[in-house]
Amino acid sequence: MAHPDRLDGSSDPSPADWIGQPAEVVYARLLERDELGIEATCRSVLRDRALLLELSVVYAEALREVAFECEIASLEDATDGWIEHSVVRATDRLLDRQRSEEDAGLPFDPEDYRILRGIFGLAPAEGRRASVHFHALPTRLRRVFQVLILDDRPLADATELGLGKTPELLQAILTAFEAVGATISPERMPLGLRGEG
Amino acid sequence: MSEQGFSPEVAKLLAEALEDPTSGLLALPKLGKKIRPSEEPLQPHQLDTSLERFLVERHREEVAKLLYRASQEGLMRIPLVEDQGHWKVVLSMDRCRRRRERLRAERAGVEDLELLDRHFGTTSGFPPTPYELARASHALHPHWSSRLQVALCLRSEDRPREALVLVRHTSTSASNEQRFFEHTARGAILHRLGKIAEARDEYRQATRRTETRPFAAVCWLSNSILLADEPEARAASESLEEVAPWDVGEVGESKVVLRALIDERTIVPGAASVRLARRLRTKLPPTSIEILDILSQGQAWATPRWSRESRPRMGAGGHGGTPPASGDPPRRGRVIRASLLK
Repeated sequence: MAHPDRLDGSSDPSPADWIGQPAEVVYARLLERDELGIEATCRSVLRDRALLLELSVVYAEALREVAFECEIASLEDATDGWIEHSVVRATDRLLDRQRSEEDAGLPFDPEDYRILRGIFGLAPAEGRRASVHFHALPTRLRRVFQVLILDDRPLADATELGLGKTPELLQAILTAFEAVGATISPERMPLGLRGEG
Repeated sequence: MSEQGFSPEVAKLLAEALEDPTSGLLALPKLGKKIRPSEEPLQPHQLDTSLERFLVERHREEVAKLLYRASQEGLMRIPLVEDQGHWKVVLSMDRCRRRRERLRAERAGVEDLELLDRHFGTTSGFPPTPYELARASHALHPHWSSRLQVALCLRSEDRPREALVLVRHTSTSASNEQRFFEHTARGAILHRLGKIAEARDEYRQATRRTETRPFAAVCWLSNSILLADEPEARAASESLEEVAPWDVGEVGESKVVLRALIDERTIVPGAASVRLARRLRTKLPPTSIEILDILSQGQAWATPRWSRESRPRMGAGGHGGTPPASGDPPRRGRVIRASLLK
């Protein structure tokens, strides 16, 4: 898999350097230096799937996943995208855990939901519940939110990306805010609808 | 001390220690960079509270055993629908019902055992997870059985890679019993990882390590069917017959259904229906009742294809088998169900 965000501009690392190594060795090596571009892959997976998870939490989970994958996988398993697959598994597991812990009413660390809370203006105690509801929304709807609210792009861009026409886009935004129990303030409205004209 | 070896006093003290928010025993799984359980026993000075240190100094093995039992109980309570965990499947079977009863009896022997009661949700609070309990047990008294328990908990938490790392190697001095459990656990974990052929091999080896436990043989048989490997399926069926010669109960019914899949030569490879194939590939074998339910959905079809040439490829996304011709797929499942009901 290509790592477009690799800062050193190097090419993909050879799986042969990693596969078959003990998990502890891989883990320690990755903590020292992110030679496999896991952080960049985490960013890209979060973006591609329009997820609002805390990067540091995903990164920690992904590090473990990659370390154990290296120990048990064979070189044949290390096909293109093996790191991305590990990161996707890590994010899926985090989402599952959030759901089950929310259902069980277990305590949580509000810091794990800092970004999401900041975006929606929620209290610390609301973080996990909001995350569970937001991530239960269809991907298309989350993507609308990503384009119009997070990227602050105009409605026309979202339509051009095939995400729907203006009424559907607006409905999607309202649904997202409603799902997490937040209200949308005028300044958070999509570009072009902020009462400028 | 109860006849099962648990002292109510120790259990009470342990429950008290675990309720302390500063408890170091349950915090162990969250310890920094150690990404797999240590095989070195935890030392008392590594714990924060005097009660924990006392328990570890005076009652290390008993506390470890209590934690292990609580972890087993917790793992059993995860809903079957959500996770076809190894132990839950085992426990759904005849022989292992006795195991459950024994565990219950042990609880009754220490009826004031708040730890287990709490874990069963009879009181408020946040019970430790089976994984936390297993990991704490292993930290106090590292043993192959506690390591397996940690692995099975990880598997049920959808961490099959971490689980496999823990059970990859068997000591050359391992007993037959240890080998049976390790092969079985590896089979369950590999199955979860989608490595069906490797899982089948582990189950086969496990079956050869026991003359009394049918679980591995059921898994060997169902995985062979999933792989459309008739010789293996027949060998597994024979072994299962030796281990479990009866046709009643869940093991017996599973056996009859799985044998029918071979004998009818109509439902291959595990593709009696897309649903069944999915279940077999991603989970441990469903119980016979579930198999029958799935078969009776009317998605089964009849085309003999045990021959190698016509075996479908078992690619990651495929379900095996040729789709039924449109119009009139025979409802083979109903035939099997009917024969069972005679």
